[in-house]
Amino acid sequence: MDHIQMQMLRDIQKLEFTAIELTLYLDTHPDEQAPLNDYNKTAEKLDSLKMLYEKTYGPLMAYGFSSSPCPWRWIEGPWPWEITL
Amino acid sequence: MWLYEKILEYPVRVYKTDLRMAKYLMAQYGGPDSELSAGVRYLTQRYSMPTNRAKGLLTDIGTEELAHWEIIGTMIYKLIKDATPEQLRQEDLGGYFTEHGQAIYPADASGIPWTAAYIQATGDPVTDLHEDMAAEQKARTTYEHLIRLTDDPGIKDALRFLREREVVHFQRFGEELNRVQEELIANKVF
Amino acid sequence: MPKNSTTPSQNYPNPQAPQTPNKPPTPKNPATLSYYPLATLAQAYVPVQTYDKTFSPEEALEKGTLFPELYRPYPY
Ligand SMILES: [Fe+2]
Repeated sequence: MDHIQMQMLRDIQKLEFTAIELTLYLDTHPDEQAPLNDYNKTAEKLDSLKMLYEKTYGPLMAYGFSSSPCPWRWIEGPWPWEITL
Repeated sequence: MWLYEKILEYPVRVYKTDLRMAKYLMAQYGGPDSELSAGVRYLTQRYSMPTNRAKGLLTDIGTEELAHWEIIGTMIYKLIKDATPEQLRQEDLGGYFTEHGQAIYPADASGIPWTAAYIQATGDPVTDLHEDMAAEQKARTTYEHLIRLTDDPGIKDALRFLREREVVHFQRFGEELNRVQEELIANKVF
Repeated sequence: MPKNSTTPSQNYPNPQAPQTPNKPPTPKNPATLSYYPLATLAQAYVPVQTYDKTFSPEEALEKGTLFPELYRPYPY
């Protein structure tokens, strides 16, 4: 795993965590516009960052959520618990 | 349907073998107040929640707990993967090695296997949300005890993150409890 | 009444004693305080959070929350 992949994973983690926090907030405050705007902005950024990541490093999700070249890249290591950087 | 994403919610910066800490961390992997208990508890209770908000909240927090379970599993995996059977025996993990080798088995810090008896689903949303809030407090306390048992900056760092999540989850369950109580009173069910 | 029974008042603070104020920090939006003006007895409440400043995604991940008002660092 190279440093660029590591940095991209970090950046995805940051945006995804913001999305998690806003998800839980919106679950108990479903009628508020400001957090919803922030959620939608975060989702958009996260989407394009994940697409960029998957182009180089393979799918983050299986079950048809992203396509794969041959050979099937989903099973490529390291798996999340094996990352040592 | 559940989707697995090939990324941890929070990075685990653990580089050394530390069997004693691995054993303590089992509390959060397969103990009564573990992330596993939390995940199974919320994902079980959601079916009988009266509001869409509560169903959504329990689904989302339950799912996040499974991500936390993976973080704890990753920490334990990294802490024990390079240990020899002799080292495991010295740290009183000989029994664990006999039964599980180097697998990451859901048992608590004393080796007692995880059981569904750790959780409850009563079908009463007020009661279940109270259990959930108590569970968040118990998990927070367990994290505080774990933080005090280690000097390793990487372990401490991940534990601090997980501890703070319990505070946020408590707040969200509390907000939903307010609403559920309000609705039950309005519907004169309560 | 049995002689050795303690009076309940020995076990509880005297309600007439001067109260030491132990107020939670005042939220920026006072509406939070009045959200449940008439709390019912034998019922638990948590003040409802209002949306305010948030941490940057980087700071949020590092701290474990997006919300400064929910950040409770542990001093060990
Ligand atoms: Fe939690």
